[in-house]
Amino acid sequence: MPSRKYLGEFELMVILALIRLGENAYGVPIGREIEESSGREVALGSVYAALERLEEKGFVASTMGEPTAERGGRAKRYFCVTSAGLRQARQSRAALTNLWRGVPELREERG
Amino acid sequence: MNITKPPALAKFLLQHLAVRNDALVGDLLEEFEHRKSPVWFWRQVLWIICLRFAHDLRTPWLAAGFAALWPYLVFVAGRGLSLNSQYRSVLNWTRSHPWPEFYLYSMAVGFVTAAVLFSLGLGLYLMLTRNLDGLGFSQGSLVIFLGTALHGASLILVNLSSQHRGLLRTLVGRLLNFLLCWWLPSFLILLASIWSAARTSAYGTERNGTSASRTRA
Repeated sequence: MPSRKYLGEFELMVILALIRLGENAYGVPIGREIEESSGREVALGSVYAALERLEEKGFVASTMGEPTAERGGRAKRYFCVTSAGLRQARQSRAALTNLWRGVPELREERG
Repeated sequence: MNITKPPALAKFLLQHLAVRNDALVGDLLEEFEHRKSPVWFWRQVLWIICLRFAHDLRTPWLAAGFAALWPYLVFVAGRGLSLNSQYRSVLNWTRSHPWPEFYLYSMAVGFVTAAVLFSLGLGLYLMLTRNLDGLGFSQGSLVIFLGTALHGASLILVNLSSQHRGLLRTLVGRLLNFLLCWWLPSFLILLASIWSAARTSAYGTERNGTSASRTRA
């Protein structure tokens, strides 16, 4: 069975967070970036699950950092977007922009 | 109150029930230092465990197929083994004891043999899937021996209290006996051992480590 190559909503958010963070992208800042942008709490387990899926699809690559004492001697795992991932993010943006163009203006829901 | 350490039980569950993933554990500890909320830590740990269970339920086909086939092969091997003169002499030794000792001894010999053959199966499975890891294998074998001992004890209790021995002499009775008393428990024990080996070894963890081998400061 061919693997899914398109991006889910959360995967797209993770890729965009990676692009925004640049070289310093590991689990904690990625989670914070998504939390600040979306306003909802993000589970680090979900972030890693999405990153693993993206890595399997070839959209993300990772490298291990050095172990640090404040993390109980555990190393950080840094992530970056590959060129395939960037291409996929652009395609997703184009598809979403096209779809939004055909949608009539939405009224704000009454709180 | 100044909370400096995450809940010990949650940390234990994270390291033993969730998959070994040092980077994720490190991230959780780092974020806990920032938030200092045991409730947040518990929520994160329970969610990681749920995610891992869901992942394992989606991709168990190879393990399930192996766990279904291997008990049958062990059953066939056991019948072949019973023709071996040295093995027969061990069985005869058990039969030289009075009831119910001879029954308990022969069951023990049978289940130790099965547990050893299951461990061989586990090793073969881990080797074929290129996930053979000493720690994972020993954890899986421990599950096999505990599971087989429990299975053996339950069979002994059921058989000692059974009032329907005549049923076992019919073909349907034998088939049911094979499926319910041997194949199904063996299948579950093997599946649990493979799962346990996976939790302990590098198998299924940060799958293949990282996509780039270099490290950075």
